[in-house]
Amino acid sequence: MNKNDWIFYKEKAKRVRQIIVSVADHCQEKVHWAGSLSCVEILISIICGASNFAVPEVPTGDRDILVVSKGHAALAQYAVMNEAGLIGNEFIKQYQKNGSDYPEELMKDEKLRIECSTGSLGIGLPYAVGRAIFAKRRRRNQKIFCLVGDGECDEGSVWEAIMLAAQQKLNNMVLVVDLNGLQADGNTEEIITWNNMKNQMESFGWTAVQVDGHDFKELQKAFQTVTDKPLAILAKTIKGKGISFMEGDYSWHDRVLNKKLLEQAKAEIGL
Amino acid sequence: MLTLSKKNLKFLSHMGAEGVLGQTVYDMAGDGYDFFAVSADLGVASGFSRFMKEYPEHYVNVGIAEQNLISVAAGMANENLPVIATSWGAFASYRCADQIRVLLGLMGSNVKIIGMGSGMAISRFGGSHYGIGDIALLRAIPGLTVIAPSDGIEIYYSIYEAMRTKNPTYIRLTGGERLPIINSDLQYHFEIGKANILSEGEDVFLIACGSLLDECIKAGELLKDRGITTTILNMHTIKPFDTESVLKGLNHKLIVTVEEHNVIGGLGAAVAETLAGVSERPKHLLLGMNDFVPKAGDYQYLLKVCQLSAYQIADRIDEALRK
Repeated sequence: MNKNDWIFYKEKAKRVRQIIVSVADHCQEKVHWAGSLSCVEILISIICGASNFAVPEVPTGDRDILVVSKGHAALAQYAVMNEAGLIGNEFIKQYQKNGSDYPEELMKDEKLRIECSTGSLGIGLPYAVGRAIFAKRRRRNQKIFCLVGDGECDEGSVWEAIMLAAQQKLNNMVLVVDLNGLQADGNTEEIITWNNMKNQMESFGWTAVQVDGHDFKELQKAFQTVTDKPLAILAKTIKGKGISFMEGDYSWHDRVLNKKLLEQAKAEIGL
Repeated sequence: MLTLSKKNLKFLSHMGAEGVLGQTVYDMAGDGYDFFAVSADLGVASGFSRFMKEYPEHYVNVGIAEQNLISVAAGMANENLPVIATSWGAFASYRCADQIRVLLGLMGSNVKIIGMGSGMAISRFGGSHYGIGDIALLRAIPGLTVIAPSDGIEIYYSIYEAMRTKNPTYIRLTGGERLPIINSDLQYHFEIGKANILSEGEDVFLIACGSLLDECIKAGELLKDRGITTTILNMHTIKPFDTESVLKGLNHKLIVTVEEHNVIGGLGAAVAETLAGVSERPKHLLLGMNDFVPKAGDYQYLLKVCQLSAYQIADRIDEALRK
């Protein structure tokens, strides 16, 4: 990837943040802003880079799979897919509306290539591990990507899946942990501490790399890691990234963005 | 697939519920069905020994991790590829109810959960292993089919039938190693959602499911000696619920439900929900476990404690008819 590519990706991230914030023009309800803003670069790197997710013509069975296990980052997934041309602009007005295809938490939708209903945390990763076992057993040439939150790692079922993925030698499996350091009630460190998730993942039999989750260069390098084990990318991020008053404030996990703050947010992200 | 013969009915009955499960899965693989079987470290208890040895590519042990069992099974399944997931009924329902609700109910994943040793089949293990609320819990999950087969042939057929559909399904095994022969008719036909009438009578309309039907049939014989005739309905499918068959009970003096399950939320409740909309109807006697868990013991002891032995069922029906 050359210098122009970085600009290309950074422009994408900027547009995705603009798309995310623009839903507030039509939705004055609580939205999981901060956890969506933290994983923008991660999801762009997967959907528009590391996977064939957005490639138009892929033979049946070769299509890579993305499971966003932190289902409250639905808005980020919709926005990145919108940027990638996979879903139309109508989602911005339909987001959270009655009977909409775009709820606050992800719902399985084959048409939209949303693989799994998540939001009940700790379900998406083991589901993705099942997908990866299937792909291995049926010799499918597809990679399985899964995004979990660091707070989500409080769920024991996440670790059940981590153990099984190593046992089954799932080198077709890439887990990204969005280490944004905050969860609903406060600092992740003060709730359940991850002393050193890299060591923890390695001790569970995975290859683990730690990166700046907002740096496309580091992310790309991490996705290219060659390993015969399942790969964990531990992406250090800022919750609420891009909007100053949201950054580092856990109350923005799930909150209404009122008109006044919306104007400030828009100004900050160049809308 | 085994053919329906007296010999095979006997053969399946001798295998016990989990033995029949293993035989079914082995025969399905032999018949060329494409599927996976997944267990939470209960492959041997599921009767899968031969299957695991001969079809290792079709089997996964997820470890002692029931939540993972359901999620991984859902991930492996697709509409043309069912996945059988096995654990003890108490664990395969309660332990992973949320995974079942989301991945099977909401998403429709093509997973067939086999809840083994449900009811009080693992009698000596005690309350931690009794599946006395799985029907109540799982029939309230939209999108899930719930089946409670009564004997070897019904377990065998219900698994085959469930595998032929794309519906997420819970199959509740009871009876353990003491499988009765409930369906001895060689014209026996199993269809999901269509209850079978086992005997016809005019006084009592008895609805039951699972291996406890054995006690019900014996109770019916005891009542016959007292001049009371009983229709017995084998309600092998809990959901979709065969309301039409239930309504056939309206012209009897008493409707009785019998279940190896809490009386709250189970088969009796499903029948009561059906009857609630009918203005002229007979009294409904709900027999089951009255919201308690008995202390461990042998199966016959437990039936007595729960007042579910054939004699007790007959006496309670007799008493209700006199009131």
